[in-house]
Amino acid sequence: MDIWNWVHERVSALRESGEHRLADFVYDISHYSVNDEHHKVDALYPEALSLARKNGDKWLEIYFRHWHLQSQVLTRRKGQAMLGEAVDLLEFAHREETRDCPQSICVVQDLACCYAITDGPGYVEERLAVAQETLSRIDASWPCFTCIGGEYNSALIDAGRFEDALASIRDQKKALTASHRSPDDTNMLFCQLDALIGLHRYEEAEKLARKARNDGGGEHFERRRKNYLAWCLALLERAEEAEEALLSYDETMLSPAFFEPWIKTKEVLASKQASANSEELDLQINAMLTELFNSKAWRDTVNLGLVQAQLALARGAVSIARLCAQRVAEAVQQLHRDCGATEELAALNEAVTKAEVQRTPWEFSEIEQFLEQQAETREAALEMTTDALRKWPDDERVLLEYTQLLDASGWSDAALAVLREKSGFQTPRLLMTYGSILIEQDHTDEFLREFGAEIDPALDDDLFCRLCWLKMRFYSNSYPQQAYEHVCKLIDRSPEAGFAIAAAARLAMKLGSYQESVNWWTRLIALDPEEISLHWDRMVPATIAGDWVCVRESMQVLGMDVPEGEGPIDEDSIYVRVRFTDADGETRDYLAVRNGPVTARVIGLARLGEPQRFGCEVVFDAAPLNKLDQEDEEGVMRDSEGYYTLLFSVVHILKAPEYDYFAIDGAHPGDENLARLQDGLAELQVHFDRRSNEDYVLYLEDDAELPGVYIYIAVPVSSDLDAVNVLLSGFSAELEHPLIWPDLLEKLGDEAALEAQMEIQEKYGL
Amino acid sequence: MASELHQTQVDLDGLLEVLGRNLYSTPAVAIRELIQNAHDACVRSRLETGRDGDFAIRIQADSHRNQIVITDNGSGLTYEEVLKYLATIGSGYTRVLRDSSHNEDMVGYFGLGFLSAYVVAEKVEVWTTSYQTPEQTWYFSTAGGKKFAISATAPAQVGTTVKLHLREEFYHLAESDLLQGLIERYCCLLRVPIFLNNDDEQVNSLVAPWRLDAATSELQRKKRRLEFATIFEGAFEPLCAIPIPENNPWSLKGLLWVQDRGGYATSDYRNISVFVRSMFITGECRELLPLWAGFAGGVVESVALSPTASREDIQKDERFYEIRDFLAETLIEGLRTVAANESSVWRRILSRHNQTLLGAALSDDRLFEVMQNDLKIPTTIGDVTLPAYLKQSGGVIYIRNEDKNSQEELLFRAQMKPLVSGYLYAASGFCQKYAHWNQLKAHILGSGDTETKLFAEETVDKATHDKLAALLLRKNEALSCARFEPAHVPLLVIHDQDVALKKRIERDEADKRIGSAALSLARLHTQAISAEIERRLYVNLNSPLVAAMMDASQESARHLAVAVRAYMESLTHQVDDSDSNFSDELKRFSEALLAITRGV
Repeated sequence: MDIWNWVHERVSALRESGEHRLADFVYDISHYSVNDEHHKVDALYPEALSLARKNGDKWLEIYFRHWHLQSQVLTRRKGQAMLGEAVDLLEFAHREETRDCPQSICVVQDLACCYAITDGPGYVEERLAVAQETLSRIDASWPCFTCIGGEYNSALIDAGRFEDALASIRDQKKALTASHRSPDDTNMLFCQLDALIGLHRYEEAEKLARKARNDGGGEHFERRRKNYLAWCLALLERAEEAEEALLSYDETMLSPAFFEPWIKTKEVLASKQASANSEELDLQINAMLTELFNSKAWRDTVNLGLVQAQLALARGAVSIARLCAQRVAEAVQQLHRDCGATEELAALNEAVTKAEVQRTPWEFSEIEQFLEQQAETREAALEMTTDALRKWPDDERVLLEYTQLLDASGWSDAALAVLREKSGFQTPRLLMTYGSILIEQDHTDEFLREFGAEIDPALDDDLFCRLCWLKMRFYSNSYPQQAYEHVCKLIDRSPEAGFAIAAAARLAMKLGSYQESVNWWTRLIALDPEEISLHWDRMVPATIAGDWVCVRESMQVLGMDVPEGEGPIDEDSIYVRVRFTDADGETRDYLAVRNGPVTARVIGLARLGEPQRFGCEVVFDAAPLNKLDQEDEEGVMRDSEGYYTLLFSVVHILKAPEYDYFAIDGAHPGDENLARLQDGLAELQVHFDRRSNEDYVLYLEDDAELPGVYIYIAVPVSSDLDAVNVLLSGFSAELEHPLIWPDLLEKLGDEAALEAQMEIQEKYGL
Repeated sequence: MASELHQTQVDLDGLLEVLGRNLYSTPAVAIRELIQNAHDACVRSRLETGRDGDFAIRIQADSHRNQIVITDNGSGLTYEEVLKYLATIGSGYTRVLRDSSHNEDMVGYFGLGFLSAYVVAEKVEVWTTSYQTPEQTWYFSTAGGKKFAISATAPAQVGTTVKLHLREEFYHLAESDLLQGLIERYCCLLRVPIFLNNDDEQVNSLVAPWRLDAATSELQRKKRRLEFATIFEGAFEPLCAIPIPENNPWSLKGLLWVQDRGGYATSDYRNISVFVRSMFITGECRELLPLWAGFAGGVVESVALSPTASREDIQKDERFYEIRDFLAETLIEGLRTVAANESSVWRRILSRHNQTLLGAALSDDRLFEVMQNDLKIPTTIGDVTLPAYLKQSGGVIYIRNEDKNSQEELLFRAQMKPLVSGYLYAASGFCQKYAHWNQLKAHILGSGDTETKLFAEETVDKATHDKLAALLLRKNEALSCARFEPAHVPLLVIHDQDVALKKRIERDEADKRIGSAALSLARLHTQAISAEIERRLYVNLNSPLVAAMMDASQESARHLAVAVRAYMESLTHQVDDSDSNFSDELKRFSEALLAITRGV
């Protein structure tokens, strides 16, 4: 049975019908999945699924969902999280119209895997039954035979039946050979290795791991194999080779499937003093355990958590060991069946208690003594702080030190647990730590539950302000209005809190309350008059709000020439470029003239057909986006793109006059005439922009050449277009070679004139 | 000496078959190999005689006679060397290969290269005069490669001339344009000048940008990099070129670039040419570039890379992977520099490769950091950057992961909130990563998490609750009162997916379809789902329609409730089943409206 046959056929059919994207996704998803490129699986999966559903292709839907589960469950071990999807897919894949899809068998494996990952030994009976039932539906010619067979073997291993597992693997290999299939398979290999290691037959295991190859297994197979090989080598006390074979920590983090052999290799090497049992190793193992715990892989959390705890005990890091034991205890409670876990946990707890008793405690008579004491390492500091906490369980300073140490040791959840317990204390700094960790760890629901209610105005100033600040941080990006309200409350209580005033000024700006923003900056300037850069910040909202008194004052402080008089500043100075951001986020740059400290007026025209901003008056952010830091051949400074002007980002558009834009084309009428035309147009308020240079040449039919000219004009929408047309017509009529302006005629609907100009266009090859 | 006839020392039939079909993937490689031999002869001459300068390789292509002639003024071969290198094929090549590889100056592996001539030519003729025996010129010829003749011939200048009489299937190799292109690319790093068809202009005159004179200005370098990239890219113009930083542990030199082309996110046009000891090895080594860089090209040169036996590929050894990682770094840093300093180029890169970069940014945090605010995501208001999206959405990212209507979507659309089309490539993942990095809130519609946040339940007195429940609820439903905007959305119906699944899995009929053991496992999961409530109605207390329902007479209220419920239901109706079908909803709506009208 070739379960890929229909896939190949479907892909060909999709290509024939032009559905290349969906066709590409079919092979991409499996390829990315077996190569540990899970981000890409995630990136394409929603679209692939949506396309399959749109096509009403239920088999492909099963295919994509199955491979998504493979990536999520088999390699990323999200057993519990994906259980609902696995059950849903099982039901979907066993309907009348889908049950013949070969991948409906794979779906059974996906479901069994969810349980195996959650608690392999706890679900042994169920998994064996499912595997047997499914194996009875297929034979060894199916690729699924090895997957389901592997699931069966893995259940035997979880039951500690290593010999049975090896016998089963032998039988399966025989069946595969009889079906002319290769008996070497990924699923078989790792089960066989587990069984051999379980039976302490390390040499056989090492040989097997060394020679194993799997062409279709991708990088995932190869990485897992290396960690297993390292584990075997470590068990054979070949430490150097083991270190060499072992994946780096970063590579191991690609998939939780690599965690167990990695941690166990490190455990063996550390126990033989062949590698360091260090704080750093603990941080690494802890990151793995945290991931397993968060994805509810309970059995692995228990088994590997016990290893972490033992390593901690061996290092004398008793507090870490205690934390490990607590996490293991939480996981034990979630197991489906205990299978000896409680007993192991009890033994661990006993060992930790013994270590706690044996450890020489830190003695402090005064709390200040503790606060001044420096421990040599982070773990020693944790031990010291644990002792201090026993003595002063409710002291804010000790608690702060303790929770911050926990957070730094990768135990932010444990830190949160302590803080939850103490949140009733309402001490400002503890609450800040609690809220900050919640924000950093994305615990939105808990944050809203704990801090969502209106802050009690009866609280003392310090606490009140800290809570306001916390809530401002929480809301600042997604809910600026709420953030602003909280920071305003804070300033009410603490009128000189500079950081809060600056935040309020920025939030007011974001909310479009420009005058309020100016007021906040003014307040901040009054508090810190030495900090003159604040004037730049104030200038932007002040200009938008039209607060010219403020603008003039700031200019003076910044040492700029202040124009005489009052009111708006509008004095053309240097050329700049200004960057507009369209509604879709696309940016466009226009030539402008700076006419105030943070204002400019656009004078450049874009190509016809592109958005035009001629005449727009804008406020820009005073920090330029480019640097004029490169010299050209003549020693003039320019930026890395070759521009000689500074580029500023537009913050606000003050005026956006509307213009119509037209082109004028034809033979060059001579400089004098052209100047006359420009003057004439200017009288009609029409802006004239010559676009061509001397390279523009017209080739006539008799091969004669004429210098050409190409002009854009910007006509205010309020102007009389007819008058412009009359002017152009009069001007052109006097010339030897006429000009054309078809866009303008089209706008006027002057068909006859348009037709005449078409002839000119043809004659001059315009 | 009279002409001698010799037997080549291997079974050429078999070997040529292997070579032609397997060792060399393209016949053009034969030309490369012969030019390389000519180059080595020049280097050898320099090394052994101390002679310097005036070395040249001249190539004549005759497309009428289907011949190619390659002449060098290098060391030439003695009689013994002719026998050793030109005639002893296969049996000696491994040894020769090993020996010559010790010499860093010799780009080739004399002997094997010549073998490739037999792959493309039906007859090969060689005239050679060694600097060691300048008075003696040897003529060597072979047809089909099996037997060769060697004889003394009229004395000629020191050096070697090889004439290929092409096989019919390789006649095209004698086209000048093709040869010119091949030489430009394959030989651009060789220092011996190459001339084609009596043209005085050197063909391999292109100077690699990393070999430019130290005094060359940065602007000039930039231009030369783009020119160089254009020649190697072939199909696409380069948008920008990124030099590889030198002083790295692998003596790696070269250039990467971004292609100017459109394409799907999954399109992979990675293209990299690898040179070892100045000789072109392969243009197919895309694995040297990171997987996400389907839009990138490059040329690299390094002695740390080892060619395979055919010298058409690079061995995937440890250094290969180190260099691969280094190139990924270089590309990221290069893009970062472009983003900071060359905004117009950067915008073109973004517009060409937006979708690919969305996926790439998911795989690599530093890339994400550089482009998170510039890439566009597909939304209900078109393709927009996230800062532009957030301006319109008010600061929260709303993502719909399924391309189907839902009541939540309906609410957001009624609130004029743009929605991200999360079911398109990489959009959902990118937005979630963006939200996480920037501490923003992202709501995924239908994930269940929006519900609790959107509809903070409001307690109402029991009579109101009961009245609304009696008016609006159907079977297995519960009612919650809430307040949300806009007021003209009177209620929303949210389905509980878990309960629906439980219902499907625990139906008797499932037993017939699904194996009992598998079903037991599935039911282990669904048994833990306790709720019986399939749908929850969130009634909007801000809605004037709901207020009207509360105030109206019992009869009018009933009709109004039916109309409201059926209307809202029909807006997002998906699948007809035993509980509800689209037509019935419309019928209910119509009848209720009629009843209300009559009542009025």
